[in-house]
Amino acid sequence: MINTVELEKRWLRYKTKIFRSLFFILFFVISIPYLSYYLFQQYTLLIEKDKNISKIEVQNERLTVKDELAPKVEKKIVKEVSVLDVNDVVLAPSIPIIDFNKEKMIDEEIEAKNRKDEQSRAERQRAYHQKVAKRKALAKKRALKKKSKNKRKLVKAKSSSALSSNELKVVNGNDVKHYAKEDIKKINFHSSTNNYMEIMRRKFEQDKNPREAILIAKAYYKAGNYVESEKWALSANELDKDSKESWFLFAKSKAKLGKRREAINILVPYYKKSKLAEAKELINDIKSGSL
Amino acid sequence: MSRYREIKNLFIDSIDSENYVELDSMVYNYQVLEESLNKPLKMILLFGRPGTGKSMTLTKLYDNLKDIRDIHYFDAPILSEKEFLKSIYEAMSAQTIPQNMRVNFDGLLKYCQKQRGQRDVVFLLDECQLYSEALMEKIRLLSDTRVVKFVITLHKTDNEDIIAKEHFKTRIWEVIELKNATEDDLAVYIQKKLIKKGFVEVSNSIKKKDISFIHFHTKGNFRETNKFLYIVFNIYEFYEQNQPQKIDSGKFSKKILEMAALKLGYLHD
Repeated sequence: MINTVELEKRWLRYKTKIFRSLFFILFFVISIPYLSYYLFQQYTLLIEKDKNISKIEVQNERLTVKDELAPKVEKKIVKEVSVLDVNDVVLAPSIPIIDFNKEKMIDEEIEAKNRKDEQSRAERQRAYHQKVAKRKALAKKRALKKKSKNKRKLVKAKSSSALSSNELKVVNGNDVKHYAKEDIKKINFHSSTNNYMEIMRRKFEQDKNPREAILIAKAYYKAGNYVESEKWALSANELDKDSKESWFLFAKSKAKLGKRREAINILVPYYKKSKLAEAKELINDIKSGSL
Repeated sequence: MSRYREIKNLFIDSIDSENYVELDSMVYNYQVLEESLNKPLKMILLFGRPGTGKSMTLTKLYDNLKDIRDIHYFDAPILSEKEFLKSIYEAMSAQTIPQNMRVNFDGLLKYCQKQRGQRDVVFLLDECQLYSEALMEKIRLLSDTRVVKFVITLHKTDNEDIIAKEHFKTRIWEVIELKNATEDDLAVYIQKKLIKKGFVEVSNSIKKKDISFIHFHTKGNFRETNKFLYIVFNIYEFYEQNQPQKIDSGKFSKKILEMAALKLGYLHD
């Protein structure tokens, strides 16, 4: 007959094994939703982080150049473009992504520097004025001294001498020429630039000729108004994307405004497309800071 | 005698035609085989995996036809050519050949050819995969006389299946393949076996899930099923005699089924 006692023991072992396996399966089945939930949360956090980063990027994009400059490409800029690596910029007439925070910091630094410079300049000017005033005062004092000395040296002639009354006046030192205050002709220094600008602006509004926008931008650039020159260069570029002057002026204005990196990032794709030696030269100038 | 001992003995693997259970698939195969014997076929191949009921079918065929046909059944393979030819001749001539004499194959062929048109002898050869190729060739030559018909069974295993097909593909035979039972067939097989001997209550206590459990482990193989149920009722017998409180006659015990599966190595502890 069969050894049922032994079989029963084996059956108990088998049941324990099955129960253990079931327990583990149950444990996994229960823990999977929790684990999934945890992973989902982690994933959501990561996505949120990414979104924040991309938001900054988008802001930078908007701040760098209007989408008119590269309307189609701007939408495609999704992948991260390293700001530092200029060679990574995509070949397209577009303005790459620029680190807005860095740019802001640079701007602030420049502004602070400018403020400081201005202050020191004002101080120097004040000091200079004071010095000049002192010198003037000193010179006046000396002149008075000299005058009194000369006066003392003069021989007093008698009134009965042959000197005319005028001569006498001279001798007595009373003949101080009185110059009537001449009316100083005020030259109207209305900067001719302003007039020129108005004319050009009006003309531009009528014709919408990119050439005029470039001329205005140039004028502003020469006058040191880089904000306006940037604006007008952009307007010129909107009308004529192939105008190299608009590209150069835009980049130069940016560089002058302290946005050197941005200027380079604008010029590099243009250089890649146009292969103009001037563009390369300008890039080098901006890089070296010799602009 | 213990009730469960009786049931246990029902599942002892035997080829007694009394134990033959008529299942739909078995009945169909049997009919095809019987009809084939009436056709002018020289050889009929019955093949399938071990335990699919080949021997049982041959036994059933022999028992059913032995009184109405000239039929002979070699349930065990005769591996010696000398013995085989002697057995064939003895079966056909109804004479006993002395031990020191042998049957000449050419003589046997001539003997068969002489009886052409007069006799139609059927030989049922079980386990033919054990016969040599030379002996198989002689069987084929004997069948060419159209006096002797052979029904042979072959085990179908992964390798032997190919051998069987390669070896016999040039002959025009009737081929009957026996397959393992489906779950429904197995349920009918067990129930019929039990009811046949009057164990209706036990038969009713076996539920579908129990049949599924048995079928899952035995893959519907009749021999395996018999072995499995033999162990099951062996355990029942033990409990009946020693711990009757542990068995419920109205419910088939899952525990005992699992114990039997453990015993046969279907489950591992």
